[in-house]
Amino acid sequence: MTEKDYNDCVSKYSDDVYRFVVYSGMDRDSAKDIVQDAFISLWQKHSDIDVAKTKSYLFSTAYNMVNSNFRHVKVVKQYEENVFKETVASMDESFESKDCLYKALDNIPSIQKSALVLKDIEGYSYKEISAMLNLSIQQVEVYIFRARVALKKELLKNELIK
Amino acid sequence: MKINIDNYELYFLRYIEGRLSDEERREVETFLIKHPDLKEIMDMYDPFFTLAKDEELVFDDKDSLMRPTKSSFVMPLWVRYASVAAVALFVVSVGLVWMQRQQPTQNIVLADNAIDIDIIEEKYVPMISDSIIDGEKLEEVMSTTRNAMHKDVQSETMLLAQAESEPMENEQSSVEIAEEPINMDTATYMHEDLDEETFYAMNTEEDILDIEDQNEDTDVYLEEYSNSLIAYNVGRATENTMDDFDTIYCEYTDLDIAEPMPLLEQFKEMFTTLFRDKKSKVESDLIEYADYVKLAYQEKKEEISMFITSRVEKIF
Repeated sequence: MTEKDYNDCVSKYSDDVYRFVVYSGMDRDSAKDIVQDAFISLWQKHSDIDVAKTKSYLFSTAYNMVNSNFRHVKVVKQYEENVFKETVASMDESFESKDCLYKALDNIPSIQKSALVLKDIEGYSYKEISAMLNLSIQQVEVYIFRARVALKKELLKNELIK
Repeated sequence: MKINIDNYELYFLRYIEGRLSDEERREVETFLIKHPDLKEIMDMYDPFFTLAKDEELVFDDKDSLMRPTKSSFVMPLWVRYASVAAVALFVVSVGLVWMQRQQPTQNIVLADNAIDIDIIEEKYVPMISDSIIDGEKLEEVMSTTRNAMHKDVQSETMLLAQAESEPMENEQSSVEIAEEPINMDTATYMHEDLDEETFYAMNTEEDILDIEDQNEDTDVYLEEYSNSLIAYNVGRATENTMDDFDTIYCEYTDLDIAEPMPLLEQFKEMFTTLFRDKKSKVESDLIEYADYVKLAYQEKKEEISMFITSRVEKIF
């Protein structure tokens, strides 16, 4: 992969990867960091990666980064919840529908959201998603089933759909 | 594997998406009868309830990810102009140096031409003068042509014109030129475009010896070069002879020179083409071409002679 190929990937895929990371539950600043790290990783391995597989490599790398980030955040959150219980408990109820969607997604496990984003937004097949997320096809199918059902439940609960 | 409480989600998904066999579909339906509480979960799954792309969610710092590419370098305009100027200057310089080197070389060789032409004469002129057309006249024209080769093109044309009116006088002058002795000193100051007196006035004895040494060093090259020039001169001599061939022919047959002479025209055309093509090639080809001229001339000589003879017989 040449510098030009790499720059083409930036132009074509950086928005998709960023959106995938945000949908997967990361805040936007963290999502930017993850996108940058994913592209750095892509360039470090550019001589070994086929141009046709760069997009799936980027999603796969970003997904792994999201997962490791969540593990780190989970530990921090537990600490914060214990120390600042009152602060964490206060919730802002006034959000618009788009924010509501993200809020609904927040209550779905990360791996389910990642699989659902890749299926619905990026249009990958179950097989392709299984390769990217290093899961079996059956696992991907189950995660997507659960994600879709959970998301609908959340939206129904917030009366955003009927 | 059959549907059970641990894998029913997979079967539900495939059931809704229509990816089960008839038997598997019946199994799912039987399973739902046994577990009516799971019917609600199945109804909750809507394959058309999908996430939409949030177009406003974009990564707006793409430049920070880009890498510089070789092709992205744009040469400043002044550098481009300077490059063109540098190339032009180089070409002109090389041209000037080449011209300076070519000029003296040609002068020296031309100075030696009197000797070279004698060699040509010994080698090729007998063949031409043996022609049954008019041996004496042809030789006379050859002498005139040889004489002309020591002059510029214009004087050459003038001398050829004189050859028609004053053949004996021109023959005399050409012999004088051909037999003029050429020594190294003459060649040296001819090369410098100076007369002998001025040359010695301007140079010390050491300088002159240096110049002579330089001339000796170039002799090897000049010998090769002059061989090529011999071939070239043979071609020119033959070409000029052919031009005068018309004159001789017209005199012999008492015809107007403007009158068409098909075979001679054809012959001339053939030679002209031959000369033109061969002249455009490198010098080494000229030796080969001299031989070719000789052969061509010999082949055509008899034909031309027969033609002229027949015409002469017809007229007289």
